[in-house]
Amino acid sequence: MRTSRILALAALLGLASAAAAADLRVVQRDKKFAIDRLDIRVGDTVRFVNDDEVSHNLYSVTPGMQFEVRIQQPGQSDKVTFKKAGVALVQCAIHPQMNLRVSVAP
Amino acid sequence: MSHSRAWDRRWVAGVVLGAALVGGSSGIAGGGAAGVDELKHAYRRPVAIPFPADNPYTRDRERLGAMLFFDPRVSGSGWISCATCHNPGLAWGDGLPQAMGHAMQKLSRRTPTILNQAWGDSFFWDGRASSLEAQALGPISAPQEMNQDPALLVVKLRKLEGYRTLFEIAYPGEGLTTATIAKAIATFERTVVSGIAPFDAWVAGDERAISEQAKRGFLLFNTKARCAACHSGWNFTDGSFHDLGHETRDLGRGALLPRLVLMQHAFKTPTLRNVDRRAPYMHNGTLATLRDVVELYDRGGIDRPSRSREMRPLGLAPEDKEALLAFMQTLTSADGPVTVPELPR
Repeated sequence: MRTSRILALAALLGLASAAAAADLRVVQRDKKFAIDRLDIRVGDTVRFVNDDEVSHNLYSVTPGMQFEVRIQQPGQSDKVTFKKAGVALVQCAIHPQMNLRVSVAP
Repeated sequence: MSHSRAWDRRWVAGVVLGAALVGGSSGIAGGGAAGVDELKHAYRRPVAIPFPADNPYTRDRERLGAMLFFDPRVSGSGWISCATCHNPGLAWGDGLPQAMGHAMQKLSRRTPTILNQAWGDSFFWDGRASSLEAQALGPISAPQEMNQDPALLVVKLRKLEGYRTLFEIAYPGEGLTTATIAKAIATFERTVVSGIAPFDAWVAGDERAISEQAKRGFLLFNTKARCAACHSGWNFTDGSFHDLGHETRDLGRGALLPRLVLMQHAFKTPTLRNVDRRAPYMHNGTLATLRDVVELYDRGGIDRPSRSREMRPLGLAPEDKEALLAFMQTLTSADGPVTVPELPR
């Protein structure tokens, strides 16, 4: 059920998907995330892909779920593994209109 | 590569049009018209001002907000209003390198215009407020700026029957509170929109609205000069934060996000609407003219770890710079006089 939920989400949003949750991708394009929320589970890994014409700099300052992705030039991608349950707000430091809510279930 | 497709389109348009111009074409509407039309489409004005669901527009709210905006009693001293710094006669700025605050204190940053803030995502040079409602109370309560305790402002305004009545009409049942003060001011600010500029007339189809030099400047703006990487859309800003490599000790957004290298000395991208009426420039007003600003971009700024990855030496020719300046001058609208409201006594 969990896999189907993720696949349905990925298909609905036009994201690249894979059979395994570990291969989730979130695309940044036109200074937006392709989605505005994502439901995953502890231990899942999300690959953030910069498919834009400008750089991005993703981070989360949600308590207990902080991370920073390196400055991503166009074409670059990076993985983040979510190790704690909770809701992380992922933002781009450069473009404050880019917000992604990642709900991490236990 | 897929990631560069939009820039590729702009560059293709640029190459085609550049060739037309070099070849002595009468102008930008030559062989590359389709490319220009595509570019123009990205700069078309919106049809309506956006208002948030928790503070929708009414005429009464705008009217009340205008009164508060122009009322010096909103400050602790009773002689500084929002309009003291955001002067409509100076494109809703103050024309100073750095703002003057309470008791003539010189502040560290330049007063930003409030033009077109309805389309903003974050407010202040460092983006520390996430709504205009949150922003409105900042300068009022800052000791260096208007030096007014918001709770005492409520007490002060409640003594004026005119305000009590106007708040009840504008926000029935909500009362005269710091929240409704902020909401009214924010509503008024959202109505402050730059008018139709020659550039808009050109986008709408009037080929004679701007000069051929300005049209070439628009092309450069979107291609070689890379301005549109951040100064994009009808409001000529995407609201993004960048360190332009300009000399400053101010950490800007870096004070809020100290662990992010790219945010050190980073400031919000301002609108370019009416920009030639808003000198001096940059967050600290240290560049006197738009020409100085173009020179900064052409040099690429100080190469330091925090410098925006969009900044790089541009190699602009003197005629490129003149074209960019000519283009930016077409963004100024003739907005006419602003009526200062009569205030409750």
